[in-house]
Amino acid sequence: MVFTLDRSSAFQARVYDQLQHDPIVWLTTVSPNGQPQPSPVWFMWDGADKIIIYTKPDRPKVRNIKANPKVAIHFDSLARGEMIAIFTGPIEISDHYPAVNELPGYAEKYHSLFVQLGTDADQMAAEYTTTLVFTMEALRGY
Amino acid sequence: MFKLDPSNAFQARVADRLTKEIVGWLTTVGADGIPQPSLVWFLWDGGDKIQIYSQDNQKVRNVNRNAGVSFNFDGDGKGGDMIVLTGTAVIDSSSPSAAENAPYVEKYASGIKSVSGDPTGFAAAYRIPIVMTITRLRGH
Repeated sequence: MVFTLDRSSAFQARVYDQLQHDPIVWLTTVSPNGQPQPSPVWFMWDGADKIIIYTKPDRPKVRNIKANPKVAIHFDSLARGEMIAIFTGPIEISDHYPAVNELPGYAEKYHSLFVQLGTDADQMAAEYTTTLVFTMEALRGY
Repeated sequence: MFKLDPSNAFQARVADRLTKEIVGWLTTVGADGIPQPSLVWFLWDGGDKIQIYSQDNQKVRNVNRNAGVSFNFDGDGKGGDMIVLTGTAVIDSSSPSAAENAPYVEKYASGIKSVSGDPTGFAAAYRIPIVMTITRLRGH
């Protein structure tokens, strides 16, 4: 069964909004010795149950995912910790998605951050060549 | 032993957040290998230990099985102010209860009041002391 957000729930409607507009999520992978490793990442939601993340191929998170594809994705908490949202599910290294500079919506979403960092989607595509695709299975939070 | 260097600007900021922040993300790993982040109250000892009090729940079972944990703060929402501490955690029965831990009771006085009424009630519910030992810091 495909995970679907229920926007009639106030909690899930907020998560829907964060998935569309937040620039950062925390991706937590687990190393082969059982150590969780959170990292903040840029992401693109497909509007359904997938979150697409581009990374450099030599990162520890890529090695961790090859050994254990089970990950968590959470947003920063809001309102002094009174609002949180945590997804869990599998993530895979995929070659079925376009490069970051060709993914619809990505350059627009990160336009102001690209400008701030003095870079753009084309430069990012040269280095962030590994595509990670997360599939939502469960959502916890309030 | 892990020790923050206050002459380093980043590490001074880490010390400041460890002192002042109300909540942090403790991530444990489930038996199924799925990482489980949860937002927790905590007390830093100024050195390499973070004290947490938990209800008897999944994170306690996870720590008993796999001591590897991480602790991170919220960032600035744009990928900056990233602070990730990794290390090991134990259920530490030698810790004082939450009610007997004066700096903890002081830090969370208003929260304890709203969650449980008083420190004794809080300590009865959040009766499992978890102590994380920090071994590594990542961030910027």
